[in-house]
Amino acid sequence: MKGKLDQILRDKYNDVKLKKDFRLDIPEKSNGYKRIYKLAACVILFCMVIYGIYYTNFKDINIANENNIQNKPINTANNNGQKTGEKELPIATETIIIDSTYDIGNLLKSGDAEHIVIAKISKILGYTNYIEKLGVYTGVPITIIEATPIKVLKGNMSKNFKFIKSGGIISFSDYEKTLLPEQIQKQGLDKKSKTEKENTYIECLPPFELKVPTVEADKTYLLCLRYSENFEMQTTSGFIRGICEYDEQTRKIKNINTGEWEEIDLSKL
Amino acid sequence: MEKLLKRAKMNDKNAFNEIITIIQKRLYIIAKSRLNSEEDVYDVMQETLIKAYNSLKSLEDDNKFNSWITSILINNCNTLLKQNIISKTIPYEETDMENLIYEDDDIKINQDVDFFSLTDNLDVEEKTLLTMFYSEEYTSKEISEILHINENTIRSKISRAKCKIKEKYKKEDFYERKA
Repeated sequence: MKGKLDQILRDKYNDVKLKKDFRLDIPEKSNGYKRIYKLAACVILFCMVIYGIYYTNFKDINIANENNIQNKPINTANNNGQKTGEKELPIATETIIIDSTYDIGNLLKSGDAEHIVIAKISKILGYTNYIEKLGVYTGVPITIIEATPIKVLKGNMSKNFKFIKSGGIISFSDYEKTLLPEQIQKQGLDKKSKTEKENTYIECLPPFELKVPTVEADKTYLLCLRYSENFEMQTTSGFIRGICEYDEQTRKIKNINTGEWEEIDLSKL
Repeated sequence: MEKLLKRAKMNDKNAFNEIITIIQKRLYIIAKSRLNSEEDVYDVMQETLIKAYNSLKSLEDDNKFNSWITSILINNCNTLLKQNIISKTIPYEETDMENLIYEDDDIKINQDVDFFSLTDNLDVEEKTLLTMFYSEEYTSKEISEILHINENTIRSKISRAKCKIKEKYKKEDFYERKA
């Protein structure tokens, strides 16, 4: 039964009035830049017409732009973590919102993680955005990682275990499978050949303002894990916040918001 | 909403503005529950809307738009709070609410007290939890995911928060402190 205070809170909530309506307001500065770009584009186009050159490859700033692509070494893997390749490949970079709200301290307290473990990364097995169980491609690729537990603080974990974390590197052709036709066009992928798309990659990273650790082999991390039904593997709980660097000597973790090393009380888990 | 999201994902600003019209009050109240200054609230709202619009394509499941944009908002609020160091969270352990029992009839709240004044003695997390709960737009699971609170403890935390409000607005003659 709802009490009087419930009703009051609900009424007061409904009584809240906005002083003004919000609208999508892209800052003036970027609008200014857009206008400059548009003006510059018009001048360039005019010059090209003058010289009798019709340049059809004129396009928006996009993910497939050659300037966004750099060579990087990567592995690829299937959902079982079996490596399917390793070589230096051309990769573009974009950031993705795969963020949840709280830091690892809150995550530890919340009971959200089924397993909490300090573990050393054995190897990065690879990346994929294909969920075999569902037969679908996802917009957020994952990294498949193999680790060895040093100390299990909650739950249990086998000697060598695999887990996944959000973010990773996938081919343009796999990335394209998650986009609408309009997005493919907007991002310039429609101008790439099938071979180009299969051999050019995109790295999806968390927002740069977060100091999310780059997972590296032989480094130690504090992991909050829970089972992913889709990937049928342990996944970092709380998305990207379920993993942070751990210093075995000082027993400190690196805060992903500040990048500072901090004390953490693991005794109450 | 589904159609609007599809259009917004194709960079249709008008569609996104229609979505804003639907969700703005809820987001505004959540932001206000975490930030003191009205100016900060407006800045964070704008930042959130721009960030959400620019990242909309990364949203896989449109059904999760509500909790996704709320997470972005709360994240932006937290960033600002860290910059301004104005947040003061009182751990639950420090507030001895266990021994206080008030009936709803024991409280008296004037008409001119608004939602924010009513909840101003709560800590930031409690305020956000109450705003999300009373908006009736979030399931317990969504609140649990956004605030990283165990789903089973949401009710008890709301109950404690309400107890704090009752403590503030108790009628002096009616309350009793149980030993």
